[in-house]
Amino acid sequence: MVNLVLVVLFTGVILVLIQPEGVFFGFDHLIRFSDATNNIKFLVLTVSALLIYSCRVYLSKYLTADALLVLLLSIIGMFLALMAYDFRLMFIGLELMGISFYILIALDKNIKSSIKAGLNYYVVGSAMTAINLLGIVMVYKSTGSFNWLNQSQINLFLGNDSTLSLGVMLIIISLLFKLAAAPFHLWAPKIYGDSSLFMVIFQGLIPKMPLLFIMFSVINFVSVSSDLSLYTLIWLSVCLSVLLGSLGLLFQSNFKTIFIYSSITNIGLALSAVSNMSETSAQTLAVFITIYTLMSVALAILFFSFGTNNLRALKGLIEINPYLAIAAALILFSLAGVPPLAGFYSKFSIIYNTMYNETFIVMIPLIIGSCVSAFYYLYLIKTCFLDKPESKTPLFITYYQSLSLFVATGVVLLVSTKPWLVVIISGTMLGMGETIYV
Amino acid sequence: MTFSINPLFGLVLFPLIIVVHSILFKSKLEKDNFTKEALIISSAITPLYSLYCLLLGHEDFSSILNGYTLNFVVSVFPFEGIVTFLLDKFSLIFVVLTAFTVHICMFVNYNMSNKKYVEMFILLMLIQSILTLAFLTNNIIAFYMLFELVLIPIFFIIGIWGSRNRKVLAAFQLFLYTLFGSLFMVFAIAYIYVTKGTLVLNDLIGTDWSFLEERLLWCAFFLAFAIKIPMVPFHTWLPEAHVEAPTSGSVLLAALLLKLGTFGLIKYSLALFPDASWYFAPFVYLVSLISILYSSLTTLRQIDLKKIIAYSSVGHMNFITLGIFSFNVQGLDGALLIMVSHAFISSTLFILVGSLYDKYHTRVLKYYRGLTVFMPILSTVFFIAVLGNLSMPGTSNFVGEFLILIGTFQKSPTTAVIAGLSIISTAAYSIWLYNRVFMGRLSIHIHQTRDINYDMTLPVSIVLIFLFIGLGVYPKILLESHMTPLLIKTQL
Repeated sequence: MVNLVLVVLFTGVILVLIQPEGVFFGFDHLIRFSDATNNIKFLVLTVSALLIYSCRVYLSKYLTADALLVLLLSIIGMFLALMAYDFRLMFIGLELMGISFYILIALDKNIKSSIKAGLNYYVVGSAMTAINLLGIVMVYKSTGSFNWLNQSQINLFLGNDSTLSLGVMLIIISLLFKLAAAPFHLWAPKIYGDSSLFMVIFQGLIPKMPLLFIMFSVINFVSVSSDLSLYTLIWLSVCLSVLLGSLGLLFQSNFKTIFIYSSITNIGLALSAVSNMSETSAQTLAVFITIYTLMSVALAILFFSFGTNNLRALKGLIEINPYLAIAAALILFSLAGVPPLAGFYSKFSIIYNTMYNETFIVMIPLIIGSCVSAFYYLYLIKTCFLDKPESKTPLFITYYQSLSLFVATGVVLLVSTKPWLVVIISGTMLGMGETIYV
Repeated sequence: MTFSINPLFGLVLFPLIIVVHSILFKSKLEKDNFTKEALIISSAITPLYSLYCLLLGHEDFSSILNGYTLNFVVSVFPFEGIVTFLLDKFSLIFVVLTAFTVHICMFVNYNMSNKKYVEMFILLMLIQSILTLAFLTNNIIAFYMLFELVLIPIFFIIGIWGSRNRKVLAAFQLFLYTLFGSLFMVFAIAYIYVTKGTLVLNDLIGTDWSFLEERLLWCAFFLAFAIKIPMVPFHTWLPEAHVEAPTSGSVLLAALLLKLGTFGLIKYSLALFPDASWYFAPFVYLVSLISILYSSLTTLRQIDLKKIIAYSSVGHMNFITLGIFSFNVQGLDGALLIMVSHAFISSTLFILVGSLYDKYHTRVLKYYRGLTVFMPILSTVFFIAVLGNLSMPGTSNFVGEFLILIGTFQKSPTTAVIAGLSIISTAAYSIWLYNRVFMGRLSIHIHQTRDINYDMTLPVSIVLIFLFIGLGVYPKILLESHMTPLLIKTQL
């Protein structure tokens, strides 16, 4: 069954690759195909294929065939929301994704508390769906249209309409919730703490790219550019995410919480690019999401190889499996943003973007956040290299894990030595730049 | 003479080839009997070649920012441009210094087991390639990247081969202090790129900045360099790192990594922001004076041998900043001379203290007394090194400090007079250190062992002593005034 899922994903990759370039609309401007959506689809499909390939032993053991179908359904939901040029389709896509996720978390038989996690997620998620819907209705009341076409011209005509700006804010809040960005992040450690590592990584990593793109589109197409309250909300979210994510990362001893808090920090950085409307921000966002996803998937495959969630497994890794330790050092130094590893380029592009848009306020949280999270990644490297192992037995990983870890770390390293590769891999630079002018 | 092949290829490629080779054949090297000798000989190519370049090719790159270049076109969001590695005489001095210091570290590590030696060798060669590129590059972002990248090997050198459990704290402090400072620098670099559209140093010299932005950018650069130099109050990582690092790590730190800070001040802060440097000069004098006086006073109360040398390094390094910010040829030449001579003198001291530590496994001064009784050679060599440290006439430190005092006196006589006080305090702690360790009755805590003539310490320290005395007697090699073009270019 896992093989079948992989075949489906690769067919999807081929279908995405043969798409023509340019921007097309379908179903009376309900759906938009563009280079940016294609590239994000490509990233989503390849990254989830890599994740599923590396955990195929785990998946065939703990997930039934219908659970894997739900997993594919969630990807379809992401794509619908990604291609949406209309609030109705966006809502349907996000709901398809959300409901699949609630079921997926509950279906994992590896961990006992998974049903509790699924139920909690369902309750909190439905509340946020209501808020999303309310926002869409308020935008409809104010502009009389669900479609994003000519939305910005209508907004310019309307001027400062409080119903419109409140509606957009509610939609953004529901998206921030789904991204687990602070101050809407508190559900993530709780619910993901009850679910298994695979679910945390699949649900915490894969939807981030489409969601950030949707948010970028909503802000670009629908909001009024002089709407200060919306920007205040996003800047608050950026500062809080970077600070709380990096401070929360400190002294976590569980792979799941390490992954969650590291993603909160990085989402905060990505949001700082979302909140500026310029071509530079679009490019920054594309580069940042690509590199962050590549690094995170490498980190995820590394965490999978231990078969446990406890940080103690990393102790003295250099003695029990030196190749894994070197891969860990590369990935963690990259996450800490040490040049010339891939993480540095993403950090520098964010810094460049803040300077370009003269949003100097983000400097302070960025400096504190980078230093604190760099400290924790260094602590992990210290655990790998300088601590004594608990048992001297060599650690072996499966063939699938070693191959996928090799691919993921290799891509991170290739980006480091040949930085222009990120342009090819993301490919989204031009695509996302175009969206502004469509 | 002119080179038929660009000398940069050799300088950059040799260490990289050796690194790749030793990583590929690591397991084979660990088993071989003559591994250490083979590695020492193979890595001698770079220092000899760089010295050859320095002595014979000086007509080709006689002034700063003018010489052989190696260009790479880089096009990655957000920067598109040329990363240039430029070989002028000013950088070449540091390339030679890097190659020699790394080569000396290989002799220092000679007593290690084969496995450890090969691993350390790989890290040392990595440091050599990174630092060579950092000294040669002409692009601000490339300099920043190499400035940060060198932290990875030194983190592992201190963390893995350090002597005590506190080594983790020391490695963390070294890494995070530098990371914190350089984050401000990277913001400044991004701002420069946004406003000026280029990061090549030659293009940026002479650009106009507004009053506020030039001063803010200068502050951001200065914070990164001040942490690296280090200046009080950012100096706390240095004694920790020196105490916990193995001998070769201490030598690398003192001789090369601290120089990145002062090198950056000359090549980047002074060249990019001359007005702001002039504006902030009194502030730098104040911080330098505080650092010099504080470090020499606090050295008096230290009881760890390595901490004493580390704090005396802080004093010498801050003398260099005084020289740099005097903005005249005497001050800058003196700064250059002390940068080189401090590398030799503190390396000698660290190597000698390291050999003492290898014998007795303690660095606490209270356990040592009366070593002259059975270690005449070590006592003599140490005495010469201590004389070098207190700037005895005849050693290169004397020439450097004298030039710096001349240079500073022209700008601010008061500063020169206060800085001159350090001549007394340096002499006080150096001589007192020697007095406590080597003179007096033999301590009951130590047993009699062989003198240092049975290991690699003696030849290495004698070579270093010849170097710093040679520079003290004939400093003209470094003082051919290649600082004047910088002063003309920046119109200081």
